Amino acid sequence: MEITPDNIIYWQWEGFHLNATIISTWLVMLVLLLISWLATRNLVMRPKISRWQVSLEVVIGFIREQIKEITQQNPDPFIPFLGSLFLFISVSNLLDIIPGFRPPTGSLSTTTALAVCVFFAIPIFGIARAGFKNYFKQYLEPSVLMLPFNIIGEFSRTLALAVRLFGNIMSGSLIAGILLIIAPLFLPIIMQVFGLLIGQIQAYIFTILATVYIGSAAQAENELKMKKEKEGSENNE
Amino acid sequence: MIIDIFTVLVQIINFLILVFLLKKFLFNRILNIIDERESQIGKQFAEAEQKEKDAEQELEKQREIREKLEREWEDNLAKIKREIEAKRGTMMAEAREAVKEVQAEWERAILTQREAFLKELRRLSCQQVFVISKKVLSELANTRLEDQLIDSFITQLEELDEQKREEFKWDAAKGLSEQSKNRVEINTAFPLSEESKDLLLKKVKQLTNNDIIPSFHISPSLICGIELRTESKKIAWSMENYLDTLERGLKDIFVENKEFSNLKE
Repeated sequence: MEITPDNIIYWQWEGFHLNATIISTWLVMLVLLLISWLATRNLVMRPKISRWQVSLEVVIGFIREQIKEITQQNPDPFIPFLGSLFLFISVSNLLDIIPGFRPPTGSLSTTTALAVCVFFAIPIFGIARAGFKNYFKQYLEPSVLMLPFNIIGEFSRTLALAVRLFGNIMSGSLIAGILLIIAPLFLPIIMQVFGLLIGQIQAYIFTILATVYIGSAAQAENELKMKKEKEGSENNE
Repeated sequence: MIIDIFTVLVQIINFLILVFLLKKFLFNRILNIIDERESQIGKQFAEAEQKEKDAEQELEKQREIREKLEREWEDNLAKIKREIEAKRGTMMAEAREAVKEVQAEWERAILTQREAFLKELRRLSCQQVFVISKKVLSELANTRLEDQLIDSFITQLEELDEQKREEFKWDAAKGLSEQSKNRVEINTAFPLSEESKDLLLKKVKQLTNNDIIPSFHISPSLICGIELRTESKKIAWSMENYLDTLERGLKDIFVENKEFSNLKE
């Protein structure tokens, strides 16, 4: 049994190859785009809203509220990235229930790719919000001596993101496979249900952590403002 | 190696494409529609609040109008009550005045009736007294009442005081010079015999010392009486004195009865 779907290669040509991870990712993307197209082709204000639209509005509304609560900022700029992250992981894990489907999140390559995206998204959002200087000033806080530790922190948390998701999903699939060999009846079904639940929790955790990292990077601007306000009030006194 | 670099790169590209597509086809559309709906709901709430404010203002306005109308109604009611009271006072005064007038009219009517009654009583009493006296004198004294009356009148003429006699004489002479000899009249309640007429002519001549021929007239209103009169003077004898006494007595009775009826009211 393969631990990672990367090893299941369908087509190969020189350095390029199409493995199960890429194919399943495309499938997930297709499903998501199909649902999006179905839900948004007839968007209406009122009075009767389609079930697709209501469902997506609920999901996106939930994402929006969560981001707003965590970042304490306007959530709209973050929604496309973080929402896509959540939906991709969530749908990938959900499709795990289909026999023969290998979720792309069960590949360390995929989770690494997602973690790398988060890794680069953090400074992009932070610089966009606080500016180049203010953002990189955070790495020198509270002291210059902390710079190496801050950089290590950045990498380690990215690595943790990738490994956490990979480990959970891969282990779920693997345990289900092993149990299928040992006890082919009933037990794998229960494990599949647990797997679905764990998959959704992992999607939530991954997105929340990414939100916290991006939010804290973007928070530099607010901290700067607060600092200036504090200094201003002290001068007035 | 668990991590395949090629796969990582492809997944990064896949994910970025997914982000782009979802942003375009899902998030932007859904967020726009949510925002529009929120905006519309907010607008509707604002409109509803505005309408509520307007309604409250209108309600306040209507309340003020109603209070104003109630005040006006109460003022008008009080004014009408005052007017009614004043009108009632006026009408009561007018009614009292009318009652007083009716009462005065009634009293005047009573007075008139009393006067008429007394006059009629006097006339009838005189007639009866005359009839009875005449009968009594005729039957018991074999004497005519008329003769007795004429005698009494002649005695009265003879006993006239000097001043009255002169005044009468002067008045009779004045009438004689102005118009006719018949300016002096002798009125009786009964027809006179020729003898009585001659006697009376003789006495008148003595009284006036003049050639006056009085004219004789019968006047039932004199009631058992006889009078000699010129233009402005009169000498008479009748049962007036007796009748005056009787009238005064009856008037007293009327007055007593009226006071008694007033006390009863």
